This record gives sequence, C-alpha cells and structure tokens, in this order.
Amino acid sequence: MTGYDSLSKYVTPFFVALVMLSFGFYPNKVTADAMVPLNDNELQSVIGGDAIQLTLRLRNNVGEDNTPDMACGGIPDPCRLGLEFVAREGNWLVLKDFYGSLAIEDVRLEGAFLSNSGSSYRDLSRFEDADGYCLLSPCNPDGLPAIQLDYPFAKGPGEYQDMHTFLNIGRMAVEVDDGPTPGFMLDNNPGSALAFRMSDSGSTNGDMQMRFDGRAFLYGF
Amino acid sequence: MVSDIRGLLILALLPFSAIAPAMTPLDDSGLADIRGQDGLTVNLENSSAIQAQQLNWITDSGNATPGACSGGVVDQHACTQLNGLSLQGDGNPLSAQLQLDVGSDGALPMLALQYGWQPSLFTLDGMTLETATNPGYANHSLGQVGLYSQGNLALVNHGLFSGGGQHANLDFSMTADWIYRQGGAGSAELSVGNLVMQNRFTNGPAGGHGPASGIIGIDNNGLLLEADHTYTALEFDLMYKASPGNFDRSGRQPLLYGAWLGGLKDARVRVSAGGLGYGYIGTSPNGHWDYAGTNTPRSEGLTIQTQWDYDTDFQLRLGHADGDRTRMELVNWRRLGNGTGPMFALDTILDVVQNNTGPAGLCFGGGFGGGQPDSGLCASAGGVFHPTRIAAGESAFAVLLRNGHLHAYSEQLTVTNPTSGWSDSYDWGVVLTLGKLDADILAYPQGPAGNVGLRADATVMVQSPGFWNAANSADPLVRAAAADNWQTHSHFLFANTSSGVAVGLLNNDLLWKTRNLYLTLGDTDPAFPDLASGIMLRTDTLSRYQVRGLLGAGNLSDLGGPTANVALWDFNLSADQFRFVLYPAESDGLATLGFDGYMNLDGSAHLSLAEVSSPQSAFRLSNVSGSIGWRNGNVVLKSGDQNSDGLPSLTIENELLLGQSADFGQSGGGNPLVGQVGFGDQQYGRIAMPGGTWHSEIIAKVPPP
Repeated sequence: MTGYDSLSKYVTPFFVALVMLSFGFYPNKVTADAMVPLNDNELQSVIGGDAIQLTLRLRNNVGEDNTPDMACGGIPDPCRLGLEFVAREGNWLVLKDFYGSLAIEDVRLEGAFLSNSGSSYRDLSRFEDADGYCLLSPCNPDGLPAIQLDYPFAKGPGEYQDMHTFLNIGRMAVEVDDGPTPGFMLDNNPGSALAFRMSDSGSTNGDMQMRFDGRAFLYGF
Repeated sequence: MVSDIRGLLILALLPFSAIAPAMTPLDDSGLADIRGQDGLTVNLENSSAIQAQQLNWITDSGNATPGACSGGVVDQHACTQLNGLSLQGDGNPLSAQLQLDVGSDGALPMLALQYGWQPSLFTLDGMTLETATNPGYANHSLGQVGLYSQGNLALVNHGLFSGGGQHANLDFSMTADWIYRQGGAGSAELSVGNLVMQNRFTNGPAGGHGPASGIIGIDNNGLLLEADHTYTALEFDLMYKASPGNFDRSGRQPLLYGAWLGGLKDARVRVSAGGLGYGYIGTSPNGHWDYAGTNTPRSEGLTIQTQWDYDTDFQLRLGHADGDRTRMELVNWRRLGNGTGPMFALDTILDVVQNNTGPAGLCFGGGFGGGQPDSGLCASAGGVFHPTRIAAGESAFAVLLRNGHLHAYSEQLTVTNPTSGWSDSYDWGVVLTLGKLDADILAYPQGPAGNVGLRADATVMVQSPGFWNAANSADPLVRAAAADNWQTHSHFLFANTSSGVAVGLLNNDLLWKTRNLYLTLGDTDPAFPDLASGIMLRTDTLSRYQVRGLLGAGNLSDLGGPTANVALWDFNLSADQFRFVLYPAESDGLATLGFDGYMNLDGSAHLSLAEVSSPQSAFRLSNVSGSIGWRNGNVVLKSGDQNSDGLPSLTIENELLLGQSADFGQSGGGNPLVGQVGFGDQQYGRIAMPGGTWHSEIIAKVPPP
C-alpha cells in the first residue's frame, strides 16, 4: 500500500507536469516548427526511435458531450474562476458559467537529436543574449538533444482530430469582498461585462477541432 | 542485548526452524522417526499448534533487572514485544524434516543442512513496544499477521557460518500467503498472496544460474552474506478482502501483481549489532549527528547494509493480479553513465527512539554527499532543515535509511499478456534513479480511534546533492557545472534507449514528509463518509510532497552535457489534511486498481517554473490553499491485442475535484482553491477556483518506431 501510494503521489504530479508541458510548450513547438522548416534530408538526419504516445482528455464541469454540469449557472455559480490583481485587492474579476473541455489525441513525445545541418532560415543571433554573448557553445544548436513532438494520426482529408477544445465563460463581472466572504464566492453583480465562447458551430456545445501537421523539436538552454 | 535478541532470531526462524518444535515432547513414534546413518535426519510432526505467549527483544537494558522494560539506559531502554505466537499445520499436522550431514569438499570439512516444512500457518496476535517513556504502548498493537507457507532451505558451508572464503552454497525457496489485519478475525485483511520467494547462490545467468558458492559467515562486524552471483525471485499478488474469515485466502480481490526476478551481481548483505548513534561530530549546531556511531557509542539495535549490481537477466514486473494478468516488464538493466561502485546500496538502522532524543532531523539541499548535518550546518550550506526527532513523552519504532542510491535503469520495456500470449518489446525505458536516499520513519502502535493500528511520522528525501543550489546560483560558471555529477544524481525520465535521449525531470530532489499518518484497512472515515473504503492513508496534520529539478531532455550517455532545458521546476504540495484510498475496481471487464484521494493545501503549496539561464526569472503560483480531490480513480493496463490500434496502453483516469467540489461528505465541504500568481519578484495578483470537477483521462502508449 505504502509503495503504491508513494508511487501514485509521484505519478500524479508527473502527469500534471506532462499536461503542463503539453499545454505550455505546444505553441512553442508550432512556432519553432514554422520558423525553421526542415527539408527532407534534414528530417532524415534526425534520429528517432520508440516514443511515448499520450492521449489527454480533460473536462471541466461538463459531461462527455460537453453539456455543463447541472450546478453551473446557479447562484452562486460553482463553475467559476476568480482573478484578483495587485493594487485592486478585494475586487475580483469573476468568470462565471465557466466550463469547457480539452482533448489532445495521440501526441507523440520522443527524445531526438537535432540535425547537424542548418536550413536557410537559420539565424544564429537568436542564440545570443542581449549583450551579444553566446548562450550556447559554440553558439549553434547543431546536434543538441531535443524533445520531438508530433501527431502522427488522423491526417486524411477533412480529419481534424489532433486536438479538441471547448470553452464557455457565460458571464464576467467584478465581485467585491463582503466582510469575511471573498468576492469570488459572491454573486452580487448579476450583470456581465463580457462573455466568451470557443466552440464548433456544427453542434450544440460542439468542440473546436484542430489538426497539426509536421513535427517540432523543443530544445533550450 | 545478545541474549535477548536470540529470542527474536528464533522467532524469525520459526516457520523454518526445528528449534521451536523441539520444545514439544516427542512421543515414541516421533522418536522412532529419528534416524542416524551418515548424517542425522529428524522428522517432526505435531497435530496441535505450538504457541508462545510473548517474545521480547530488549535493547539498551543497561543495569536493569533482566527481563524488565524499564530501569536501563535512560530514553533508550525498550522492549519490542511479539505477542501471541502460534505455529500449526495448514490442513494437516505440522510437519517438517531436518537433515544434517558432515563431509568434505576435498580440502575442508563441510556441514550440510537441509530443512523442509510442509504447509503451515504462523500467526502473530500483536506487535508493540514498551518503554519507561511510554509504558502504555504495552497494551497497543500494530496489528495481527498470518503467514501460510511451505518451503525448503538447503545450506552447505564450512560450518554453519564461515567468513573465511566462499564456501557456502545456499538454496532457499518458499511459497506463502502473508496476511495483515488491524483487529481480530473478521477485520478487513490486506494480503501479499501467491507469494513465491527464492534465493540461491549461482554461477550467474551465463551459466544458467547453476549452483555456486558464496559467503555466509559471522565476523566482528556481524552476519555477512555475500556472493558473486545470486538468483532472486520475489513474486506476489497484492490483494484485499473487506469481510474475510480468519486469515482468509478465499475470495480475495486482486489489486496488483508485482515481481522481482533474476540475477544480482556482487550482492552483499551485512547484519550488524548496533542501532542509532546519539553522539555528535563537531560543535553544535554546526556539525553532524554521529548517527552511525563512528566516533561515539551507538544504542542497541540492528543495522542492515545491502548492496548489489543488477545482472543481465534481472527484471521488475507490474501488472494486473487477476483476469488476463497483463504485465509490464522492465528488463535489461544497466548502470547510468560509467560510474563505479554498486548500482544499488542502502543502509538501514532498526531501533526504538523515545522522549525527544536522537539526531534532530534531515537536511534537504545543501549539497551534502554524506553525514547528517545539524540545522545550523544545513542552513549555512543553503539547505532546509526538516526536524524528525520524536516528541517528548513518545516512543516509537524507528526505521532509518541512510546514503541509499540506485544508479541503474531499465533499457527495455516488455508488455506481456500471458492469457492471450501477446507480447512485445520496446527500446524504451523509465529512468528512475536515486542519487542519495535518506529517511527517518517512526512507527507507533496506534490506530486513529483505538490501540490497534499503524501511525507513522515519515521524512523521506531523495536528492541530487548540490544540483539545485548550483542551478540557482547567480554565477553562470557555477550553474554550468551544476550537473557535473549527473551519474550519481536522481532522475525521472522517459527514455528512448535506441537513440539514447531521455525526457523528464533531470537532477531532481524529492521530499515526502508526513506526520500522524495512519494506515487503516476497511474503515469508513467519519470525517469523509463518501470516500471509498479500502486501504487508506490518512493524516490531519501534514502531508507534503516536493519535487524539483530540471525539466528537459538529455543524452543518456552524458546528462551533464548539452541538454534541452525547459525550466527549473519546483512543485510543492503541502497539505494539512490528506486521504488516499486504494480499493479493488473494475474497468472494461478487468479487475483494476481503484483510488480516491483528498488533500487540503495548507497555504504553502507552490509551483515555480524558472528560466534555466536566468533562475530569478520564474513564473510562480504560490501560497496555494484549498481542497483537491480524486474520485473514481482507475489504473488500467492493456496489452496490444486488447486495443484496436494494436498498441499496449496504460490508462489513468479519475475525476479531479477542486475547491468546494472536493467534498466527500465532509462537514462544511471543501475549501476554495486560491493562490498567488507572480513572475520573478513581482506579484500579479491572486487566482481562485471556488469549485469545479475535472474529468481526467490519460492514456500512455508506446508506439512502434
């Protein structure tokens, strides 16, 4: 029991880490991939092998069909997120009717080495700090180990299955602390300054579907 | 101590030994079974149980009255008591056979011992400790244990013990069911069932693990077992039964299958007299505690030192304990880098501590490669000191781990479904190395609502000595050298072992600290009535998990060289209330491992992600408080032929409950989740999630290259 429990405690933060890695650096990989296209020869020189393939499905306050939980929309609305900014203590920007989903399907995470030949887009100045000093030795990333990300499946015409997202913020209002009750727990302001919804118009609460071609290499210094 | 510990050794040998049956007079037919030819054969049979009321292991008795549990060395004298011992036959009369013979290997006289026992049941009604500090524990118990077993021990040696060379040939095998409960018959039972244990000295996997010699001897430092090659098997099903009979082997629900199989090289186990050292090296509070008694006397207890390398056929297995019994096998173990010394080593000290005495605590950080620094020395070196000393007026069993390490990892993963015959292997490994492992674990015979149960205070640290301080240095040259000792650091990586690149948390430090942690079986928690019942860990005091290191990727042949640096990661989950329950579950028709959990973050929880080349540039989510829960958790392992895409998979699914939604029936509900957001030394504000339910499903697969 203790052994498993210890293990589970490590596993959970680790997968949180993986989730954050996927969330936090996926945009980076897309950008890096777009900025430095590799030709076929360069791609062939990238060494890869067995990978880990992950599927992450998260649903916040919604069912499998993105229907919000029954409690959402109530007063006070439990489906909410509060933000309080410095120098505005006690005033909470509360996102109400806050629910959504995120699914990342079959993303492959693999260790690889970068190519030893740069493309025509290579700009070594990006590996210098503000004072012009190299952040890498010898000031280029050739052959560095990298984290390779790609979505190998669902690449047929019209297939958009790599990532699904759905987000709804039904109301957005400022709630002010009331004595010991923090503003994020209150619903004194029934109005809304803004609403936000990210979905697919093909169905009620349909999720936005995306596809990512190519692959990206994440490396740093 | 010497005379007292003999009783414990006898107890340890009860299932195997002829000594205990010798206490029962033999009738004429029994006597007739004693035969003398070249050697001596003794057949033992008893139709009733052999019982002992109590065995006492008395330590640090000093000048106290023999047999007393007080009056000896102040704050050290203790009785470890095993109560209500019984050995009986399992289904048939108790039966065993002992053969002794003498001979020669051509040069030396040799003794041959063979002992075999038929199915038997050993039961222990309770284990506790009694001290002058806390005599009331004499009426407490850690719980009851039953051991069904049968097996065989064969030993040929130059005398029973011989430390003068490799003369011993050992072959031990046993099948067993070990059952633990925290009450009488009918109480929920946790089983390590279908247990297979084997250990023998061999000539290694290249020789087919044929018999070979090692050392089983006694010298000035204690008992020594050592061999160039051994074969070890430890295979079991972890099982649970909520409403059992009396040490019940029928109808148990399987949770997990585990196995440790294969060869070890240059294995050494040394058991020495001597517990914890209470002395000091240097000047307090800027020196080291002399925990090992290097310069000062140590108390009475036991020290067990182990070390070995993994041989080419070694493997670890984890999988389902029921149904298809699909399992993962971690094989092809090798050393990380090209370091020296044993791949694995660990020193364990067993003792009783009491009344606010003993070494004061452990140091997290500071870069210490050995020793046990005091608070002043720890703080001056940049570490954080964690007090572990027992409270005044308390006494406890102490398990102290020191200077442990694991500098090896598995290079290949095999997934096998023995039912369908499906199996596939991947050049893929989990690199989980341990740089420096130290732990202070105190165990009390106490339940949350009674005198029977297990309560523990534990502080466990696995460190990469010096990395974190160096990686956060203002000096770029110091930062650049932070991972120079990567071969002896802790790592948690997923590795592509064909290309040699691994991704994960490099050079990490791990801290697990808990106080007043109870292990309960089958209880419904009155504070959380909606939590599942099962095998539960619970504390209302402290449970803290901290993991920090370099998030990135590197080349397994040189993790100290160029690495893909994502961020310096520091994640601390500190909770003042914690629950975690394991219970039998089912998914897709498979018996699986279910779990529920709850923690109330105490306001010091944080997540920090810092730029590696500029550590002060850190995103921080800090001072996090509020409730988090896991509900309907499930872990499912499937072989390739059980998935439509043909790939094996490991699925972890659960509902993550946030804030007030982490309720589990508790009075007043969960607490809103609130934390501060900042970057560097700037605070941006606070973020709050009063409630919410996250349905989470994570599916991990190893695809073909």
